Amino acid sequence: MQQSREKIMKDLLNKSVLVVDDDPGMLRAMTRVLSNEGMRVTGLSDPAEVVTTLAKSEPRFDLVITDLRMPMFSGRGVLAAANALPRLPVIIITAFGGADVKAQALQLGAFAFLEKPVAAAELINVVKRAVAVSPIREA
Amino acid sequence: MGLASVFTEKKTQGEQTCEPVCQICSTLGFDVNRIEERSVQSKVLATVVAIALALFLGAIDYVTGRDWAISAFYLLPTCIAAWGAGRWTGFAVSALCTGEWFLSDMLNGATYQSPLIPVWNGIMLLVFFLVVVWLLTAFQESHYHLEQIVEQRTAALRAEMEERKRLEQANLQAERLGVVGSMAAQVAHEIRNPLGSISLNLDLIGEEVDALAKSNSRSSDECRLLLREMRSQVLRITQVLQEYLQFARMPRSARAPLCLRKLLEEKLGFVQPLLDQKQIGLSKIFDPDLPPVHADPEQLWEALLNLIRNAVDAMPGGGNLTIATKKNGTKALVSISDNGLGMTEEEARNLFVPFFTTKTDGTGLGLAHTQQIVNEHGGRIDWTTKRGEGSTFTIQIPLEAGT
Repeated sequence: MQQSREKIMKDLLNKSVLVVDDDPGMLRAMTRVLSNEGMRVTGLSDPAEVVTTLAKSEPRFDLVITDLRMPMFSGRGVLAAANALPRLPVIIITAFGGADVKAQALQLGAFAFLEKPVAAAELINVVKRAVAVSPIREA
Repeated sequence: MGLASVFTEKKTQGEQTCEPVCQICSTLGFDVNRIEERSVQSKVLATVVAIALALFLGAIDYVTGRDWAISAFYLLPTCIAAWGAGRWTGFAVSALCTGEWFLSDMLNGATYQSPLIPVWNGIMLLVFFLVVVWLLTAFQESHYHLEQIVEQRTAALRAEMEERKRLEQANLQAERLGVVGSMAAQVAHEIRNPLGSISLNLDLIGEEVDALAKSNSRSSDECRLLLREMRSQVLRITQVLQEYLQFARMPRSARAPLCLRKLLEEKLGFVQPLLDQKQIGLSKIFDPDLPPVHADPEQLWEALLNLIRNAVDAMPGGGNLTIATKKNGTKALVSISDNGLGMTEEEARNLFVPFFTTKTDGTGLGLAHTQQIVNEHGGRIDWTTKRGEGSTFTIQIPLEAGT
């Protein structure tokens, strides 16, 4: 248990992740879970800032986690913005699930599709897999 | 319970339509007894009355002599015979009356200038009677035809009204389900966000508790137990939400030819452990010649599974579950019967009402969802129940066209 835990820590240590969710409670919880794993987390509750945040050179993200249905700017927009960057995996975590939505999201290039509520272990697991496919980015 | 009884017990709404039609006709003043169906007794009675009256009039005719005109009264028995016993009896009574008139005329010692005159008068009278009988029965016949047409049209109208009422109710139900569904979806989504945060925070607390326990070398068992309890409640909410959402965003069915027998044989295997656990025996009565149905296998199974779950819940002390399939015209019937508690009137009335449930842990969406699926497939659900003896639900699903 301790061993695998350290392994994950190592996998995720200092990785940069952008978390987008208009629900502040959810955003705080995800930020805390991922920070506990040693990740550098940037949380955005206003999805309109996604494009400008992604466009900045600092920090460079290894991963984007986004909600799907948000006011003004949808997860699809986040997905499109992230897809514009080479090999930036996107995990969608949403309250608006469903087989068809999932299929659509995966087809649009999402790395994974999770439905709320999600367990911390599951989230970390998926994040770990996503980061593994993401190329190492030096800060 | 045998297959035959399973299906004959089914409720049909059309069975009793004839009676109200008759009632309507009689309140409108139509006599709906058909001429052919008129009893022999009433015909005999009319004939006897007509002949007796004719004989009585004949006697009066003879007694009163030639000066008193009686002949018009002969119309009375003639008409009675024609109306009550039909055209040919009417003709016969006409002949009888004419004969009586002629006889009483002769016996009273009538003298005419020519012997042909009384014969001629007799013929005139007979022809008059015959025409009256003919007209009367013709009127009666056309009246009867009119009655028949009215009866047919009333029945057709009533059937149409029933169908419209059914469709209207189905539409209303669909509309209500639509509103309920979108509301359920909205509520479910609103709850899922905080629930997601609660779930993650519980996990964080778990880690925190473990870390604290380690540094203080104290047992964290009690805390873990509490956390586990909270997680199981979160899971329960999640499952309820899942059910709501499943109901709210039912996708359009992907229908294809489907062998019901295969579907049931395959899926019932998954239910078997539950049945074993509840000490419920399973009887399968599948029609081996049932053609394929036009259905979405996943959705149809979901509908059937809801009915099976309800049947299992209705037999808390164990029992017998019967699943039967049968062909009925262009539809396949699948019936699910239990010999459990049966339903109260209130339960039966609220069967398909969303959120109505008798279970402590039910969402009240199971049967509403089942009905939604069956309606979507162009089928229908019928049911019978008897308090203390169990219930039977029967789903009708259209067969694949061309089979």
